[in-house]
Amino acid sequence: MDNAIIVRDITKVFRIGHNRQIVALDNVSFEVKEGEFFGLLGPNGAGKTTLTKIISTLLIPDSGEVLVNGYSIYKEPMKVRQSIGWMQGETGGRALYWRLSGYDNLKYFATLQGVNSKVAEIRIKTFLKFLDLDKDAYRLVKDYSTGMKIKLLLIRALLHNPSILILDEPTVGLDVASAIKIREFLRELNEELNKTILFTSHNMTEVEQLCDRIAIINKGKIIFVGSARQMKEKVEKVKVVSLKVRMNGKTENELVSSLMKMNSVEKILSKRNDEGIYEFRIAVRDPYETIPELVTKLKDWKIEAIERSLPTLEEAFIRILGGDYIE
Amino acid sequence: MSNTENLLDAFRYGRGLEKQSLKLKIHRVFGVVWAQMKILLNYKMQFFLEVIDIILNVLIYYFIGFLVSGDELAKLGYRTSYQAFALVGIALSRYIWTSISRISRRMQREISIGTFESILVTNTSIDLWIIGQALFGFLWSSLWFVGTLVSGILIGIPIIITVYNLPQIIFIVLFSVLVHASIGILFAAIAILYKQIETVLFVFSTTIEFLGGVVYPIAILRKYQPLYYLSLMIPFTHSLELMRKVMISGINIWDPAASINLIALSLFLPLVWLSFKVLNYYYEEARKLGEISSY
Ligand SMILES: Nc1ncnc2c1ncn2[C@@H]1O[C@H](COP(=O)(O)OP(=O)(O)O)[C@@H](O)[C@H]1O
Ligand SMILES: [Mg+2]
Repeated sequence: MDNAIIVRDITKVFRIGHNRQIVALDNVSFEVKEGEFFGLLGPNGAGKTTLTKIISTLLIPDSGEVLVNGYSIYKEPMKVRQSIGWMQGETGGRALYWRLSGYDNLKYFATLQGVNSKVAEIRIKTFLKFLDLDKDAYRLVKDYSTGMKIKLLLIRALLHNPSILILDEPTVGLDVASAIKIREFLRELNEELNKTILFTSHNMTEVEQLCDRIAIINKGKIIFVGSARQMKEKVEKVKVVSLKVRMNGKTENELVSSLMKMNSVEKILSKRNDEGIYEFRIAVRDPYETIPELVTKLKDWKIEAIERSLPTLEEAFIRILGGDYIE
Repeated sequence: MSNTENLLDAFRYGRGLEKQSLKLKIHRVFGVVWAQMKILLNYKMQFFLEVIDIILNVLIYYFIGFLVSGDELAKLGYRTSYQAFALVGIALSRYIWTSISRISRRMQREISIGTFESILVTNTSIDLWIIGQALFGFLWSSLWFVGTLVSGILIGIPIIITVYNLPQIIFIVLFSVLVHASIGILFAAIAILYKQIETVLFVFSTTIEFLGGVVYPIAILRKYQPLYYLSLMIPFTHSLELMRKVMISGINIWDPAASINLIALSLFLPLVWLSFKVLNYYYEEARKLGEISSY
């Protein structure tokens, strides 16, 4: 068997109140190979957490199938749970008992995982030491920093030596040093211990650094699956100019149509009105060609600022999606 | 040795998993009990308040006891002081009530702090976890239960505990715990989806106080037939009657006067099965609705 995780046509709709619903996942399919470091990249609300929880048997999808180590999430959820270690970083280290020490938290979960207590002790001590938590092991978790809590969550996911790790934004909200340490640890787990890792993040650089393959998810749909290199090439093609103007008696529509007439403008990515100053973010073919063109053609408006800018993740997605102009 | 070799070392025992045996299940259940105990002991203030609460309760009913004459109780078939009557009622109702409410409050707490998901993603089933929670709740409260009875005896309240009836008392307690733990599990199941569980708990506690005969004999309710029959439909009524008959009147549980309550109590045994069914049903529903963590 060479696929650790197979996700087939997963759809999940949340009902909110009586008649509102959110399509959190829309026909999602992909697979993660054994030993792969797989990144799931997407902005907030894209459906990453929903997807990782479905794979981890915490949520039941409306339709579709997931196989983990060959076990179906419907038919053999216990086998799936034995195969995986799951953690969620987003909640900033909740999901721990703050009135227990770090050590006791881990000991408790090792028992729940059915790990032999002598083996558990060796593992807990080794991991605590490896992540520089050994000196704080017997302090109550309520006195831990976010970084320390996240480390604890990671160790907890490893206690039963699962072959697959499902890590939902493990570095979110961490200071730079802690994030680096955690990334190193994950790389080690993948390379030295051959753990399959499904890793979610909304940080493009991080995913690019760590992952063999990447899926990009946006509004519940997978819009790209490929190598980090393939993603980078696509993203690097996206060039953005940010333009801040005052209307000077003209209308917004007039400005949009002037912009669209310009040769080098590919797509208006977003616009925002901040007390009379409009900010347009524009995807362009060549910023060095666009900027002078904007300056000459927008004489009737008052330009406050104009600059080349790096694409945000969402903007890169819009381009990768390959859609037409928004307006 | 490099750090990485250390890491590899951590896994040299393979998966290190115990076989799925009964022993392992028991080990997990007691793992839950151990963790809850440690958590509670680390909340020093709460621990302290629980002790004060018990002492105050015993004192209040001790003094109220002076207001009620033994003759009145005797007319209703209890040949004893009101203090003894109330002590057993208070001790048992508090015991059952605190244990039951602890399970569903714990459920909501674990959902809201997010640990519930972390537990369910382990290969411990929700059944074992809830058994551990119920066991902890009843074990912990039984300290207060015993403490209340002992302090009652120490201040001279006449309740009967002998080598002869002690096994009977223990049997009644265990039987009552079994039936009431399943009610606790039922409430905890409801608490997964229904966030206003405190309302349910409140209704439950007033019901047992009012209809279960905690501070007055249910015989008084004979004057209001529907209420009387309603009170017979509550398992707690029978637990308490049994307890009083054995501890106050000195009757044996196999005497017809007591065994009638024992039979009535066993009619509630299917609740044990039902509570796990309902628990698993609500758990499935919550996994469909995405409600096992507070979003
Ligand atoms: N339990 C839930 N109930 C209702 N809506 C939910 C629930 N979980 C997630 N959602 C919604 O589903 C969408 C995807 O959320 P999520 O999977 O958390 O995204 P991400 O992790 O990528 O930020 C969001 O719009 C979110 O509001
Ligand atoms: Mg998320």
